[in-house]
Amino acid sequence: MSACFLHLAAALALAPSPDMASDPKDLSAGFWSDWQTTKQSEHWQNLQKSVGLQAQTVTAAGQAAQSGKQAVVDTALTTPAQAAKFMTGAAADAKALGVDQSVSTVLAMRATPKTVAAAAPLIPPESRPAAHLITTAMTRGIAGLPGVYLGEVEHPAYEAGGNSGGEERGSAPAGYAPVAGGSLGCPGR
Amino acid sequence: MIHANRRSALAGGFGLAGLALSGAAPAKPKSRAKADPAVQGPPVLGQAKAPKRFSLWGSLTCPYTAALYPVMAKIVQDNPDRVALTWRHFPTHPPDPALHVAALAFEGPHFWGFVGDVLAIVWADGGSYGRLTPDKLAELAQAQGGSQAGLTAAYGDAAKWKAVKDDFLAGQLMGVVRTPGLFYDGYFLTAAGMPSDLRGFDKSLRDMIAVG
Repeated sequence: MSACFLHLAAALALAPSPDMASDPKDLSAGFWSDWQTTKQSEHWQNLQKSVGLQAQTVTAAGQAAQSGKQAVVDTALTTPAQAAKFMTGAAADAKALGVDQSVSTVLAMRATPKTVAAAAPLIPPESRPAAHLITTAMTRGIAGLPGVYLGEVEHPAYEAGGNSGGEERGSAPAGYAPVAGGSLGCPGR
Repeated sequence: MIHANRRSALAGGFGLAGLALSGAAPAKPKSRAKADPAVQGPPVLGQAKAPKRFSLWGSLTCPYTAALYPVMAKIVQDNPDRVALTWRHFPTHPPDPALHVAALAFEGPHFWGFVGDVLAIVWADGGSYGRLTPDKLAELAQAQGGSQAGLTAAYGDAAKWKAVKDDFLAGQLMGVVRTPGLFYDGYFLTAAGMPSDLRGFDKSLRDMIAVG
């Protein structure tokens, strides 16, 4: 059975049967079951270790609680070497889990297309086919342009390095002042 | 489960007077008149090619997403040529994934209208999502020109469930541990959660997008 077929089967399994009751909680049960399976898989745990940012988030949140100011985490991969490390680290596990689109979204949030393109030659040959799946998924973004972060819009500032116009990145976006006080949120699962 | 002090916060602890949230119901934002069928990717509020972009990982059962959403929508509305908002699905509570799939039954302004209506109920009910019954969702769908049949079709669409899952997993990898998770220019602005000082946050975001 091919990996592609397995991924398709997994996607179809997410959708409840049409005759199922339309209660949102019932309809969502398969989604959460699938998440638990994913969460406990070795590939997902590898992905979290290699490219996940939860540890940084938790650390930042702890620092915010101590300082009394909002935490800002800079997630950007600003050099081709960093982007290559990301893709190399994520490629095999993303392919095995069939989550190339999710990893692609993360990459698009963190690196400009220019940086990603420059990273390609730095990826070891054995990782290139799987890494190619990630970059291919990026082209499914808005209007065929890459995903979310800086590359989805054709604008001179993006080519120069993004919203910040290519200037050296600070600990927070230019003009942004972290506010004081506590934080509120709904914990993820 | 949401933060323990949600009710007191929702009762007015945010200091939101004067913001779009006053009046309890999140505003229905303006958006593109109609989604371009050739355009793929996450829902975008505002001009798709606006030079600045927020990405919001939100939950449709989270009162804090409900609190931040109208603030962000107003920023986009006030700066139509400068900034846009991308929605990313991040379900948190048991019924949440299906609500995100239901929202994907709609495009363009109707997507945002449905999302705004669902969040308005969560907000008005102090963080409870018990009123989001199948009948209520059908009513909300009709308000956006849809129907129960449309919702049923969405629930049966594997691609929509996969879209929600893709966003959810991406959010996990981006380090979202609480909703709402707001990103801008590669920065995670709400790593510890949404600031309780929403008025100050609103000002800081506006100052930020005014730069450059």
